[in-house]
Amino acid sequence: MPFGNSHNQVKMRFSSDEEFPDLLAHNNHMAKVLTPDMYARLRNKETSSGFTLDDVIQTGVDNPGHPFIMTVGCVAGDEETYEVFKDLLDPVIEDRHGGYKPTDKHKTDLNPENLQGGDDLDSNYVLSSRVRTGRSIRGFCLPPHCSRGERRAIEQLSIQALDSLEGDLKGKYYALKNMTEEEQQQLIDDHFLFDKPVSPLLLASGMARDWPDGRGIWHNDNKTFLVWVNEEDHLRVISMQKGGNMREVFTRFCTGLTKIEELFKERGHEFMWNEHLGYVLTCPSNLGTGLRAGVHVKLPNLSKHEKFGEVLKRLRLQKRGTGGVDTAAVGGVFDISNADRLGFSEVELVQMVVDGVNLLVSMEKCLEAGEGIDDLMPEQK
Amino acid sequence: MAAALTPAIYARLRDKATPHNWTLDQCIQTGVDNPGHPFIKTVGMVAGDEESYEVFAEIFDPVIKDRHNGYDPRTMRHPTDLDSSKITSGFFDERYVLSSRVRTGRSIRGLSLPPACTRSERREVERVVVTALSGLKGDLAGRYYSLGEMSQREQQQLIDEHFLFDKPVSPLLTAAGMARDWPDARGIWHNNDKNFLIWINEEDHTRIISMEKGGNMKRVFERFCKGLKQVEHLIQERGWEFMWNERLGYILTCPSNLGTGLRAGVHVRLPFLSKDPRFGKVLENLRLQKRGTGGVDTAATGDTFDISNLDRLGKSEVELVQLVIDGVNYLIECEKRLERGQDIKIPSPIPQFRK
Repeated sequence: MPFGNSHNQVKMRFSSDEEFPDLLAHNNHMAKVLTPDMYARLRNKETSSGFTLDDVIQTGVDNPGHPFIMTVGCVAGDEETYEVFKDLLDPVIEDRHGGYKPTDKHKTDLNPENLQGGDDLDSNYVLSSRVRTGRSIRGFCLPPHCSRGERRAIEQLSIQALDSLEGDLKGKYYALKNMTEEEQQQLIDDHFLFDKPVSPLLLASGMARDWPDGRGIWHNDNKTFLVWVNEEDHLRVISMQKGGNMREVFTRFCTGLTKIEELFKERGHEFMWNEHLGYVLTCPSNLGTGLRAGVHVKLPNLSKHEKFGEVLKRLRLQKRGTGGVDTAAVGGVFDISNADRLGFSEVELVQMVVDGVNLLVSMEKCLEAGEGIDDLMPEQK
Repeated sequence: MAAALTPAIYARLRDKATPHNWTLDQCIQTGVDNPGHPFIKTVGMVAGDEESYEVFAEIFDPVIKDRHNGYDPRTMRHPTDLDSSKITSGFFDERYVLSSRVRTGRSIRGLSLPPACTRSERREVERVVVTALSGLKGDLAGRYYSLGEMSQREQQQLIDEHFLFDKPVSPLLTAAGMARDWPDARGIWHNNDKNFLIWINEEDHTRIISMEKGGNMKRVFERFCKGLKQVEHLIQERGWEFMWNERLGYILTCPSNLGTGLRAGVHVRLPFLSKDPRFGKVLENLRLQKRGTGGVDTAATGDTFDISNLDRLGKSEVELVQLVIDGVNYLIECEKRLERGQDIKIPSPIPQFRK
């Protein structure tokens, strides 16, 4: 729960050592980087909206570790957080994003023409394809810190922009608090509905405040393009469909995003973006592209192979259960997606997924046929 | 909170802050985030410090009045009475009463409350209280177990004894920020006899509990009062005091616990009475509340209920414990009558406040 600048003054009455959190049992990126010295240097700082160091790290203090993933343990409350608290966030970013340096530049490429292939992932194995990212509206605080007024303004701006989409992107907005029982059930059946976060990682940062005020889901009539408003980020943009045509999914993704950005600009708003960090989002893990391109794919044989983990690592891919980030796989079906977000462009990441999944399916077929996969082992990307 | 907060009140209070810089939105966040509860009408707001009740009196006072049956903090005074010698008939029929318990809370003046406190303040609360408790002697002498440092064995022992409290999961509490930095500076102290227990930095600075198996409520309350007075004395020796004032009694985090902060209760078997349709009305008139034997968010299992006082503010500790004793005795009488096939009477309602 965020306390902001005013309450921070209370803490200044106590010494830095007295206030320093107990991180001995902790295993997250924040805990690895934060030292008593760093805490002492940063604790009296705040962004112009009043976001403080303790606001940044509260989620990491409250959540020592996670069974499946190495969590980040810090969040941004506004765009400026990444500047004011650079001393903490730069090393966290470097550690999380494979050595990305404070001087590195991030490339943005949302031209689907630059993707090679990707339209024919074997649908005997690949059940569905999906690409998601997030966008933040410049000038507003992020979900951990925003006021009710800001959140409502973001919702209004988003509705106006999305209502202007046309053609196969034309759709409708469903506010979480006004939804009928019927609409709710339909959205659940479509796997579109997001619920109030239950993960303590999210709750501890204050993102679920005032639920469900200002939250909603927009999707196109074809149900292939979906936008979440005010969940973990201002906007989460998702393109998805059954089967293995990742190319089509990505093309719609790029077209939709570009159009939405245009519509926001027409109304005097832009997305948070800079040359170094790319698109700025709430969690440092989503900086850069904020992009997760993935498939649900059947790999019953390969997933039992001792080299499965190593293959994924070399391909720069990550496995999750089909329920998403905090779940385990069920029945040999895995969610396979890019592990990286920052330091590679959108096209590069989707290419990695396309090429990688094609290889994984080839390996699965080999194992099915009783053959080994040693010849197919890839180099480290 | 939602019943009392208007846009006009919000407009008047939203730019104010207590000396600890606690604001209106922080008081009400838990009520905004939690629209309702299946079993109880929740308060929907918390204090961040002692001054919250003053600075935001415009919203706290109507909430207090509504919650505490018309008690008006502007005009009324709350009586404090911890003289256990005044208690009569405090020994229940143990064929029905399985255990007896009295709990309250105390806050250390000058330090912010659990929703608002910094890590230093919370650690200070722990230091002040643990130091004081180490001065208890005789049947009250005991030991502190810090939540963060306890061994597996100690933890299991405390669970088996029903002493251990865990990180809150109730969204009512987590939305108020009370679980921050868990388990830093949280712990449990209990005496060697295992009938006097103190929780540190859970929902309040301290929760003090006196309990034992069986029906000797008088003894439970005697130990409760003795222990409380000694702890108060020990912290005063070091220049600290409890948060207390004439209008609101003992100041605690949740407005529902103001006044005495006292819940005196028993686990009692009432197989016949609990199935009688008049059970609810009998309890209501006796100013008693039923809960499941797991505590506030649970339903009863079988025929055993947790029965305790409904009220906290406007009546003294002695009055409330006597009310529970008389009330539970009445319930047991009803149970016995129903066992014998006799009818029961709904008692007349107990008046609310001293005139």
